[in-house]
Parts: sequence; C-alpha cells; structure tokens
Amino acid sequence: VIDTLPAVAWARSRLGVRLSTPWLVLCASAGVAVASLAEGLSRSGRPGATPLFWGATILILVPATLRMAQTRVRHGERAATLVLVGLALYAIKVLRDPFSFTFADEFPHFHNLQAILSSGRLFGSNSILPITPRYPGVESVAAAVARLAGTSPFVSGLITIAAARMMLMLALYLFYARVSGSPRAAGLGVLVYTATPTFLLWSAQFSYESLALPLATVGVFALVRWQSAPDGAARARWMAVLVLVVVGVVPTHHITAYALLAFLAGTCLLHLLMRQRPGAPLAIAAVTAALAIGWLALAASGTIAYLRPVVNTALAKVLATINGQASTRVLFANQGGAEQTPTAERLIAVAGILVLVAGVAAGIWAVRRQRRASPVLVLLMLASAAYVLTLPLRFVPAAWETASRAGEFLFVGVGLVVALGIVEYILRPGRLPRLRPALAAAAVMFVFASGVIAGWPASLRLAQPLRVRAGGHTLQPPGYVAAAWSGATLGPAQRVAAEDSDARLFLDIGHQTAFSGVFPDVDAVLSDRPPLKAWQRTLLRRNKITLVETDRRKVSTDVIGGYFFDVGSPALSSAAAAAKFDLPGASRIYDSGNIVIYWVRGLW
Amino acid sequence: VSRRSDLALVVAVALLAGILIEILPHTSDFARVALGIPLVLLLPGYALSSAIFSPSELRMSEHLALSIALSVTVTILSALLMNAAHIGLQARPWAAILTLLTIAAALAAARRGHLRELRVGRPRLRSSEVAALAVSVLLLTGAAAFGLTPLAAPRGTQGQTALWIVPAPHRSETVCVGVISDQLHTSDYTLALSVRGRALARFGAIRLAPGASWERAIRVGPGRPPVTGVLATTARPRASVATVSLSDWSIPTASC
Repeated sequence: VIDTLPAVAWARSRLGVRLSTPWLVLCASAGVAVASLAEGLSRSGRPGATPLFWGATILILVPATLRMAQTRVRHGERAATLVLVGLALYAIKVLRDPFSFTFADEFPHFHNLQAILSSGRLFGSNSILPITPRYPGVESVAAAVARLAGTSPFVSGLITIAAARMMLMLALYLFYARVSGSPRAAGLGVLVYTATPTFLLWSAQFSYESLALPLATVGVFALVRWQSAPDGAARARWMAVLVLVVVGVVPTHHITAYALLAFLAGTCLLHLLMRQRPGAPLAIAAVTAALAIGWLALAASGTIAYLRPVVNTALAKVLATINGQASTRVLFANQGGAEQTPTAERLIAVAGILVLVAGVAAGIWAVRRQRRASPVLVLLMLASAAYVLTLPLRFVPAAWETASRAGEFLFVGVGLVVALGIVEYILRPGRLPRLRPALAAAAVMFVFASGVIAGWPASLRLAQPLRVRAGGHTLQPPGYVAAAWSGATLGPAQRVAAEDSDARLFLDIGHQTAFSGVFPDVDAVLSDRPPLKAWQRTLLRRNKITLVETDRRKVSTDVIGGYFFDVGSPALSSAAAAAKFDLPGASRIYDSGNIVIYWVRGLW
Repeated sequence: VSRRSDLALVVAVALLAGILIEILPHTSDFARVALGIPLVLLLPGYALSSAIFSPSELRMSEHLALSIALSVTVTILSALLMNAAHIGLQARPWAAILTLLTIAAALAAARRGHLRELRVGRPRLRSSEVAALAVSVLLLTGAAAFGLTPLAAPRGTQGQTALWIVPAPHRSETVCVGVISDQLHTSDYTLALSVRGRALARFGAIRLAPGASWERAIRVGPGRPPVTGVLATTARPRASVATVSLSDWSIPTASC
C-alpha cells in the first residue's frame, strides 16, 4: 500500500527509489546534513534555522515510519532502521553542541570523568552534584573508551552515549516485539517513544541516566525472554543476563535502578493478581532489591538525602497548588518564566498531547478488545495511563521536573500502547488504504514534534554561539574565559561561589571546587542587597570559599542557557548586590564588565 | 576456534587491540580508535553472550543488543574491581582485563560449539542504491565538517575585555597584571596602575586583536601596598572598561 502513495510511487517510477535500507540511510543522512545547516544558521544568528530543524526531523522520522508501517519487512531491517533513526536523532544533539558539553548535568559528569582520568580512581568529589561520583557507571565506560581508544574525554563521552542510544533503540524494539508479538507495532512503538519530551536533547546528554535507561531496557527485554524460555536451562541463561544487566544499572543511576525494581515488582504483583504465578520474576526482583540496597548502604548513602528534598518539595507544591496556595507554572517558558515558545508551536504541542492521549486510549482499547494482555503488557498499559495522569503536574513549578523525569520511564508504556492503537485503528485494512500509512507517519511526527516543543525552551532548542570566529581567532564566551583564567592563574585548588551556570564552568574549565544554588545558600549571598551580612561571611568561612564570582547577567542563573555569548545587551541584575564585595579585605582581582572575581579570604 | 568463525574474529581483534594498547598506551591514532572502541563497547559482551547462548537462541539484533549491554556492564565492573584493588584505571591493566576476559569467554563459547560461520556475502544492491549510500557518506562528512567549524558571531554579539591582577608567584612586592580581549574586533586600551591613590605606571596604547592578551609583572614598592588598576579604551579614556584592586597579598598565584 505504501508503495502506491503518490510521492513514493513517483520516486519509485522516476528515480528508481524504493523504501529500502539504502534510501532510508540517504534520507536520514540528508536529515543530519539539514540539521547541521540549521544549527550553523542558529549559532551564527541567521534566519531560517527553525524550519530547517523541523525539516531534518521529518527526513529522519517520516520515511522510517512509512517503512515500519509496512508488514513484510524483515526483523533485521526493522532493527537496523530504528538504530539508524536513533543515531540520526542523536546527531542533532551532537551538532547542537559540537565543541563541548553544555547541558546542566553534563558539567558535573564531565568533571567526574576528568577526575577519573587524572587520578585513576573512582568516587572523587563533586561540589555541584555530590551524589554523581557515587554512581560512576557512565564515567567508567567513557574513561575506558578514553584510555583504550585514546580519544579525548569529550569524544569518549559522545561515543559512550552513542552506544547507549544504539542499545536503547535495539532493546526497546526487541522488548516491544516480544511483548506485543507484532514486529510492526514494535517498530512503530520505538518511533513513538522518540516523542518522549526529553528524548531528543535531555536524554542524549552525557549523564548517568542516559546510559542506565538503555541498560535497564535490555534488562526488561531479558525479563520477557526469561519468561518465555522453553526450559529451565534457557531460563537460567536469561536470568544470568538479567542479573548482569542489573549489576550494570545499580552503580550507574539510582532512579533507573529503582524504576527497574518497580517494574519487576509490578510484574510480580500482576502475575499474582492474574494468577500466572510461574512467570513472576520474584527471585530477580529480590536480587535487584538486594543489589540496589547494598549499593545504597555501602557506596551511595547520600542518595536518600539527595532525593528526599526533591520528592518532598514536589509533593508539598502539588498539594499547595491543588489548595490554591501556590501559583501554577507557566507552560512553554524558559527557566526564568518568560514565555518564548511561538504560538503555533504551542498549539502543536497541545494538539500533539491530545493525539497522544487518544493514542493511549485507542491502544488500551485495542488490547482489551483482543483479550491477549500478558502481565507485562498490562503493566505497560498502566504506565501509559500513569503518564497521562502525570501531565497536569507540568503546571506545578516544583513538580514539573519530577513529572518530566518520571515521564521517561512511563513513556516506555506509552510507546507500545500508542503503536498498538495505530496498528489497530489506523493501519488496519479498510477504506482509503493509501491514506492510512501517511496518517500513521503524520501521527508519529506530530507527537514527536509535540514532545520536542514541550521538552526544551524554543529559544535554546538550536545551537547558540559558543565558539565564534573573529579576526582569525576563535573566541569563547565570558564565563569560559573567567573560569579558564582562574584555573590557569590561581591553580585548581580554589573554592568558588558563583551563579549556577558559571559555577559549572569553574568546575569543568577552571577545575575548581565550585558552589552554587542553595546548599550552601550561595544564591542568597550573591543576590542579597548590601551590606554583606555576618551570616554571609560565616557561610564563606565555613565552606572555605576563597573566590566569589559575581555575574550581573541574569542569564547566568539559567543552567540551560547561561553558557553562551550574549547577543544584544543582556538583562542585568542589581549592580549594588554585585558591588557589595568591594570591601576592605577583599581583592577585586578580575573584571570583565559584568563578571567580577573577588578574592574573599580576608572576609572570613 | 574455527578460523572462519565470528569468535575467531573477536579474539583476533581483541588481541590486536590489547597488543596495540600495550605497546602504545598514550597515543591516539586511527588504529587505536578502531580497535579500542570495540574492545570496550562490543567484544567482551559479544564473547560473553556467545558463551551463554547458542547462535540458534539469538537473532543477530538480539546478539548485538546483549553485546553492548554486557560490554558496558563488564567495563563498569572492571572499573569497580580495579578501584577496589587499588589498581589505577590506566590503559594497560584495563586493556589486559578486557582482552583476557574476551578471549576466555570466546574460548568457552567455542568449547560449547557456539560459533557463527563468517560469510562474506555479496551485497545485492542496485546501482541507484550504491549511489544513495555514496551520497549519504558525502552528506554526513559535509554535515560533520560544517558542524565543527566555528562561524562568525551573530550580529549584536557582546564582546568583553577582562583586566586582572594577582601577586607574582614567589616574588615579593611585584604584581602581575593582564588584559584579555574577547572582543570581536581589534581594540586599543590604556591601563593605569596606582598605589594608595598615587599613579604607579601607565601603559598604552595596548593594541589587542580578538582573542589576544597582554601581561606584565610590575614592581610596586616595599610593604606590599594596595594596588589599583583601571582599564579604558583609547577612544574613551575617561570611561573605565574594568577596574581591579589588590589588597590581600596572600593570593596563591600558580603562574603569571
């Protein structure tokens, strides 16, 4: 049927083009090339980048969706196509930041990697995200790549996440195919999964979850193979694989390990409720729980203290919002709350969510109609319903991030359930057969676009000026220059208080111990009006802070957008707050206009 | 191990990688990249999953997914073990562990008869499909080359100029003062240094191209007095671009 679509038929008759793997490779490569052009236009401030960006995603996703919608496609070709899509979409993230990592969580992980490579030891310290060195999985793999392949730490990180992406696309397809019994639904399900709001950029960053989630996906695939193994020996083999994978997940990321444990426990519970006790992975769940608790007790005891405030604040804010005691979050806004997403994109995002909700409902209905749900499929349906229920949390400021993070895991259910709905209600034989695959491709593209729009501020979706060419030289933004100066001139032993984005640069570029945020309350020290209070001097002394960096640019408090050159005059915060360190006892040792570095040892 | 099996290839590549890293642990070249990446991300897991499963139990896509996952797990475990054993996470021990593990798992797999025959099949591609793949390579190369090229700054990009001052290392009564230009065009500056309000030195015009820097060590006199520096452009000499002051001489300067 797809071959009779007008565009496909024209391409086939005139150009000899079929929807075969080489042509899909060409489409994806063209998508990557167009994305490169879009990112180049964006970082050099030229118009036209956004339409090109969407064109690139269409080139990558639509031909692959049309291929997945076909019935007579070999298993290997489906898997290869999905890996191709996964890597092409990852290339968009790499082309956005081709020179260095610029995502908020990438800085602390990159610091951990550099520390492993310089010291040859794990479990170093990290002043920005202290828990991350206790989960050294992703850094260990990147360090091994750097050591054995001789690549730079940055390139090693990119290679590690590219391998994780391949693993995710493959494992998700294999898992979906086993659970649904339909390779077609499985292929489409993986493409729907790419609509997770965090998939394109956030989940592609050099961070522990970016490796742990793909590993856990291999784990759930091994689980369904274990369940369907023909004999005891085969079950033992799959159990060995599953345990090995859990051993990899537990020291890599806390939340993913707990999510995997929750999946296993949920599967056990559903098996018991559905009276299918033989398939319940009780022993595997017990081993996973023991490993997770063991790691928590022996290596990462700070995890609970790290996660507790996030969860408690989110719950408190949800209750406050429900009671009308707290304001709701502005959707489609950047970190500062200013709305920046164009109206058309906001409409697409909302409409895409509605399509997704309809897809979840259709998928659940299709499974119920066929009465063929296994406990794992029921669990995926519950996860998809839970995802829909978490959507209102995006209106709550403190719960937004928790909902977004939970969404990554719950979307594993959404992907397959929506795909089952597409196969059952859009691709089933009926009237307008030519229109149906195109409709499926449009639906996938629509929900993907919706996810991308919802997942990242529009103004920062594309590359920003990070390295610019001027007079034959390559320049870096002021925050980088200040951080690099501190490392080169003062050495790496300083303890710096700085705004959120600058602190990350001091950590990675200056190799300093950098503090930001509210633990300790550096935010208040930096933003408070003069004079410098006694408690602020005490905070400096207790934390042995030797350098304070003041940055009047408001964007420096934005952990997503605070790393780039300012285009146009930046919005500035109070000059008085920044100048309160001009005191006897403090030395103003670096000044670049908006950024000033003080030596504050004399203020302790 | 049969010479024309997948495991023979795995053992050969792992051995080559191990030997190369043993000989050249600190170099980076194409061979090292081509062999080192599979040694971390593919070969241990491939050999391990071959030892666990017979070829009939796994499709190639399943084998590939397990290969990456088990390789990652083995790499993480090896890092934890090396750390616990106080062996530095360096190239040689790491390569030795991964190579030996890969060979041991491949031998175990071969003993169990879990071999896949290597077949060099002729790809059945039409000439148009070969052309499509060739164009793909060109597109990806172009995308990478363009993506990695620093471009001119957007119109309205704000440049900046930094002035800094620190005590000179190991030298009393001397300060290092410097200017870093992060402007998008060549600019001329004047720098005035004063001690306790009295003029000490004046420099200018200091002409700096984009990305260029200027630095001097200046003796300021006895008693380590407070020093102030004011930077201005030659075009607007009365408007300061940056101001620094040094009163605490205990700053541990690493280099200047």
